[in-house]
Amino acid sequence: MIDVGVISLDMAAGATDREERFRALVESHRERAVRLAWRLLGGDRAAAEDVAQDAFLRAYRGLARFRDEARLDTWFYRILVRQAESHRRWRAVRALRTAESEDEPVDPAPAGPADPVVQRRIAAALGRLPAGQRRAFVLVHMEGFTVEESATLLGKAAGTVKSHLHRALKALRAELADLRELTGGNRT
Amino acid sequence: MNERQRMDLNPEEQAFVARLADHYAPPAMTPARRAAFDRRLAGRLVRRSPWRVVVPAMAAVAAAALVWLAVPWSTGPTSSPGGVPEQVVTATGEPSQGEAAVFAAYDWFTSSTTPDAADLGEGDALPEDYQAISEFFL
Repeated sequence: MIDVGVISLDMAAGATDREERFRALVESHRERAVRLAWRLLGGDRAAAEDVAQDAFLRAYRGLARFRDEARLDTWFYRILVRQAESHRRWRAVRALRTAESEDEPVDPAPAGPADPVVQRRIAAALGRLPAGQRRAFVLVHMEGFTVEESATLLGKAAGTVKSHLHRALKALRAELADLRELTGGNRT
Repeated sequence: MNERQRMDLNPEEQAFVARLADHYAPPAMTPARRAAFDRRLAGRLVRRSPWRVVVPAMAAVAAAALVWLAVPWSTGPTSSPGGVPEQVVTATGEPSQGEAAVFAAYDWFTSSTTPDAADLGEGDALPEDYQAISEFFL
C-alpha cells in the first residue's frame, strides 16, 4: 500500500480525505494503469511506469476539487491516455533527432509466458496504426472499456470510436494474419 | 474484451482479438515491483516542482504590482490638515474604483485558475504551472 500518510503536503482541511482517496485510487488502479500505458507505449515497461506515475501525480493535484466519485476512474484514465500520448509524441520527436526507429522494441527480456517476438510484432503493428485507431483498439479490445467509456476517455463520439475499431481490426488482421493460430499468452 | 463489444465481432474476430490481448500484455507486477512503484510515487509526491514555487512567487509579485499601480491612482493616502494620512472612503461603502479594479483582477485570476469539479470532470488535467497557481490560491 502506498504510504502517502507521512507526506505533509498541505494540512488544509480535506488533505487527509484527499490522501485517503488517492491511496484507494492507486491501490485499485495501479496495475491496470501500468498495463494500459504499456500497451499504448508499445511495450516499454519503464516508460509505462513513468506515465502511470505522472497520471497519478496529476490526479493527486486535482483530487481535492474532484467530487464526482462515480466518474473518478474515467477522469483518471483520461489523464493517463493523454499522458501516454504526450510521451509517445515526445519519444517520436526524440527518435527523429537521434535517427532511431519510433517502433521501439518491447521490454528486452519480458518475464512471463508471452513470446517476445510476437509481442514486438504486435507492438509494431499497433504502432503503425493512426493514433486514434491504436488508442481505440487498446482501450476497447485489450483493456475492456466500452465504446462509450472509450469515447469519453478519448473525447470523441462513440461513432468515431466504432469506426476506428473497425479500421484498426481490419489493418491488424491483414498484418498479423499469421498470428491467428497463436495460443497461450498472458491472461489479462 | 467486454461482452457488449464481442457482440459486434464474429467468432473468428473475437478469437483473434482475444489472442492479441493475451499476448500483448506486460507481466503482472511482482510485490517487489509494486512496492518500488509506490515508493517512487510517494517520493515524487513530496518533491515539489520548481514551478510550484516560482509560479506562485511570480503571481504574488504581479498582484503586488497591480495593487501598487492601483492604490495611488484613486485610493492613496491623503494628508489631513493635521498631517496624519487618512484613507479615502466612499460614502456608499462600495469599493472605490481602484479597489474594484483590484478585486476584479483577483476574481478573474482566481476564476481562471480554480476549476470546479464539473470542469475537472471533463478530464482536463491542468498544466503543472496552472495547478500550482490554483493551489496557491486555495
